[in-house]
Amino acid sequence: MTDPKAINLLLVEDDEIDVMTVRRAFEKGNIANPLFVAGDGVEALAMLRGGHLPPERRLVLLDLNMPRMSGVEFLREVRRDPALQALPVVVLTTSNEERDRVEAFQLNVAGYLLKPVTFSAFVDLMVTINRYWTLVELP
Amino acid sequence: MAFGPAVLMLVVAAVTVANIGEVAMDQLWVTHTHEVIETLLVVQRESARAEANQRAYWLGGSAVQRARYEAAVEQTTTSLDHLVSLTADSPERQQRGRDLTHRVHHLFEEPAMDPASEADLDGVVAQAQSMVDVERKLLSERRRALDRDRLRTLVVLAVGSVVAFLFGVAVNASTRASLAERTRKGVELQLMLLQRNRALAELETSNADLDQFAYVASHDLKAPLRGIANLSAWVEEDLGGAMTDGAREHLKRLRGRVHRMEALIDGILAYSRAGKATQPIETVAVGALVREIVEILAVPEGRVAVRTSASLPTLRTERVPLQQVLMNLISNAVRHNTREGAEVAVEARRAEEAWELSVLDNGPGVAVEYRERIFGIFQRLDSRDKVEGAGIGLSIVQKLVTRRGGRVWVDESPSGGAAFRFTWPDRSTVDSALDAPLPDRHEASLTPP
Repeated sequence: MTDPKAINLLLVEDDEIDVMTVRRAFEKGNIANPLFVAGDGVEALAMLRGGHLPPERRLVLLDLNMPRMSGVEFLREVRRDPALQALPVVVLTTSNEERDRVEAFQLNVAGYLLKPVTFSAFVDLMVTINRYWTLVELP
Repeated sequence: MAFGPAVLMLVVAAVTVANIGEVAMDQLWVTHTHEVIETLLVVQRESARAEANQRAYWLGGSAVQRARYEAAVEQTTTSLDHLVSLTADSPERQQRGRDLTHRVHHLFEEPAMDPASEADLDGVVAQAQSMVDVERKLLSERRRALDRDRLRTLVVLAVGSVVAFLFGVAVNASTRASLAERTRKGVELQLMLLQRNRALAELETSNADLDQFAYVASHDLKAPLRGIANLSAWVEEDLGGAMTDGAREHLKRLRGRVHRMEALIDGILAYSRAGKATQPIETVAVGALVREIVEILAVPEGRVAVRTSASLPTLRTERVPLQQVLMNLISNAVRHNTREGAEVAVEARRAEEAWELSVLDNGPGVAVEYRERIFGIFQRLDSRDKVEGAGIGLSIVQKLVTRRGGRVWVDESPSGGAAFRFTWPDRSTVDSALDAPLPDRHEASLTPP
């Protein structure tokens, strides 16, 4: 029985290995939340609008460098759409560029995290995110 | 210069007026001579007529002949007076006029049938004739003078005008030429300026492109590396106990190489970025900067002591590049100094227009034969496995320093270790109004494709 307060996670990430890393981290950290994966911004929008995810308690983990539609472009699209405007998004990326951070926060991301170099750190990060967002009251 | 032709015209005009005056004078003299001749001819004619009428009257003449006689006498006398007054300018001719007058009077006084009176009349006529000849000669002389002066006037006027005209044309041409030259120079300068601006714009674009490329390249190169590291960790995990120690060791080395590659990529990115745009000029206290660097580097207190000398100045310079240089040098000094009581010192001294800053340590130092080579990119003296470090730090230092017209070198510190020294400009003497900062380069588009 899935925890009704469980967060439905949409991972938007094009790198196959990085997706595997997240999945393994979930396993290691005993995170049983539903994890959905989209390969880029276009797919992610389709999934969000097409009802592939439960409509409530959604959190997007967003990579920035992706083909077809970059993370920032996806964010802009989300903020423009009245149905998706309030969606919480946490950026999970390797880019520590000032410019990327500024742009992301200007589009109201709820967090900006750098992918940890070591796997154990990655696991800790996933656990933390999950714990935090499970506590958060979402609209 | 521009007034030359005008002045010349004025001169020509003045000379011509003078010439015309002379010609007028000449004309007057010619007319005068004509008149003298006329008068002489009248004297000749009238005196002959008087004699003829006198004789006719005496022979049995009428009152008409007597009247004619008297008229002729009067006419002759008047003409003689006129002649004398006309020749007032020439005493010689005037004298001859007077002589003629006497002879004529003598002729008239003689009784009509005096046999001598015929001879006297001939004498008068002859004298008058010779005087006419003299006048005629004078006349042709004066005519010649008149013609000559007329010609001269014409010639002077014509030549003068032509010369002035040519002069004017020449002046005009030279003015036009110098104006054209100036315009041409102006256009040339404009062109050079345009070219310079275009070159600058191109440079900016290519710099922005390079920036973008470096960012994207480093990102795309690092992604697979991350994958390799993770996969190797998972292989180890999945195999667990089934893995031999050797295999585990191999995987560890594999991850080490991956991290090294990441460091190299970061190094290239940093090197390509080093000294990109000019930073704004700030007031920097070098001593405080060094202490800040020590904190950033998180140098463990007990391991290495970093001392700052009191001679460290406060400069006006670009903060970030100076920080980068000092950070690289201090970090090197700390990393390579593994002995007990390791010390790093930062000193400064004034060198002409700039400051010479030094980072000294009591570590192993750098052998003389390697002192040039270590500034090369990716150059290391220790094998890569012994000490971590991509070999970029010093090449970045060199790039930053030489870009500001300084130099960097290494020699021996008093304690036998290495002394890395470099010169850095102090902009305190330069008017700060000139140092307008360029727009922030990071605003250039960095969105990856």
